[in-house]
Amino acid sequence: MANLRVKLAELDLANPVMLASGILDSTPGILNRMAGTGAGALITKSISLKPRPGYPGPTTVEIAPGTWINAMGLPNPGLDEFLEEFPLTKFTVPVIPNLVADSAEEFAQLAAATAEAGAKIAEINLSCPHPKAAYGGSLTAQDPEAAAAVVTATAKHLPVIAKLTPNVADIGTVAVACAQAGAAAVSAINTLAALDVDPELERPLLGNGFGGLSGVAIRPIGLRKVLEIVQALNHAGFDTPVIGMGGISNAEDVVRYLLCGAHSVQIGTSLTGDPERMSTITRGLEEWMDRKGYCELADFRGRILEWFS
Amino acid sequence: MRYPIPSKIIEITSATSVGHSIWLEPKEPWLSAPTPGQFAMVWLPHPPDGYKPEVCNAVPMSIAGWDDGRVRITIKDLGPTSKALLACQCGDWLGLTGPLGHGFSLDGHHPLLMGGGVGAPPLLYLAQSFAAQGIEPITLLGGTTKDEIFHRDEFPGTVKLATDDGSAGHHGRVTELLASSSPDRLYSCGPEPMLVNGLQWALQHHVAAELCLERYMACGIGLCGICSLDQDLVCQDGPVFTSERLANSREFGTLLREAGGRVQHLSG
Repeated sequence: MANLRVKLAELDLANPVMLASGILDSTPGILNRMAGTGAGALITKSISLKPRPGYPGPTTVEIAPGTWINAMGLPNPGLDEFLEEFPLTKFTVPVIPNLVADSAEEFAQLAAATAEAGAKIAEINLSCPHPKAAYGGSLTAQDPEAAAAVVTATAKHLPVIAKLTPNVADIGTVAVACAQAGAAAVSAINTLAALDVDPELERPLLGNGFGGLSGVAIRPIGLRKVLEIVQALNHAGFDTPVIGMGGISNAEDVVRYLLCGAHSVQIGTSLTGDPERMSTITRGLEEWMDRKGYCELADFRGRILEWFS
Repeated sequence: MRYPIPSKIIEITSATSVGHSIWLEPKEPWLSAPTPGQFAMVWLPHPPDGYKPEVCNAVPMSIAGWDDGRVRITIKDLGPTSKALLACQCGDWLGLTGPLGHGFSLDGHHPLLMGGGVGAPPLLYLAQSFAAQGIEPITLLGGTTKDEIFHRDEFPGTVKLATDDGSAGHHGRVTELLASSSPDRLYSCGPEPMLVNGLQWALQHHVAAELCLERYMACGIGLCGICSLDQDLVCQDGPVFTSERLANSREFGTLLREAGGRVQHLSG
């Protein structure tokens, strides 16, 4: 039997497949259901200091089979109500809060509060492509210095995963800046900045106008960005774990990311309307490893890298 | 694909003092005919004359009827988007994503339908589906006053009304009409306190029940989880749930959520 366990900071995960932030994670009830699907860890929706109602609909539209554009608007009840309702340490698998804020100081407040509530690691959302503030402006993770500043401010309180955007010229530079600032891991990719339009209705498809592209179409982009991050970190002398995501819908897709050097993965879009797909994917990964005769993830992780050396 | 298919308003019918019904013709056909109890995300893409763009939104609404690809939606004046939807005219375009969710079974042989407010429209489609199978349902409809009861003249089979002001039928709550009923299955949709009473009655009388719930939805398609009831998604596992399922629910009748997933406790 293959051993799928991975370490992530202080956490010892049963397998490398995590629930991505923003999918099926808005209430303790649905998180408990996802905990029963065999995921190695669950990332919560993005939590901000103040409540956010989210954007008007349509918030999510399938524009081609398995490919989606969304702008949910980071809906969440705010830090205080979140901590009151979500018992972070009481789920049957590790729950990792995802934090979002407009400044390093606010990020630090969120990190301190979630660490106090028992979180062992947090993911910091440096890269959501559709907050209003980002119109014509930049995302934190488009500026290596700004990203590093948030990592420095939050990593004082607990280990952090820096979630990066693919909407940059050189994602490796941003990942290295985060690693230098003390990130325990980096995760990529967030959604691709996108817009779609309905020709009959002659308007943007999403209530918010702009959104992020996710699903099967972005998998090759995610793979390439993860590979670039792994190469850049290796080159700079860091062994920071890279959590890959983007368009994973089955066990073979998990394998693809691990072959590119990902330490572990997150799954989001493909669980839409199909929460139990998570268990099929984790079981499928184990079956693939058994069939290939691999005992550990390290036996095949990063095998693709030699093609690009 | 879960895409808001452009759909033209072709008929406006069944006006009450608090809303009316519209028939829509989707530009491309739905993948399947809806089951009664299923819903659509109804998107208002452009504000009607005199309305601000902020009224544009996509909101979940029950399917009130189906006629060879045409979709019927009944709208009550409940908020800014529904108010604007009521100002739309024949020839205007909306977006419809559907059919969504899990609807009613047609397992009842002597079905009893109980609706209140905007709970009546999905029950109308259910009653018509029973009638098409040769089964005449009995329907109980409740409202504040006679003019607020949707579709009261359209249901096939026997209809009994209850109004808070006594303007039609029984003077009192619609659940008080349950006492004189002996169905083999109860189907209900409407305000949650009414559903709670309906569930209690069904459990006491060993009658199977299917209840159609309403929760705040941000996506409607099983992505965000804000509509969850305990571990179930109302948008996907519901909105229709069985009495067995709801009898063990911790949240049914006690907990709702609003935008952002903020908790609202139901009183009483």
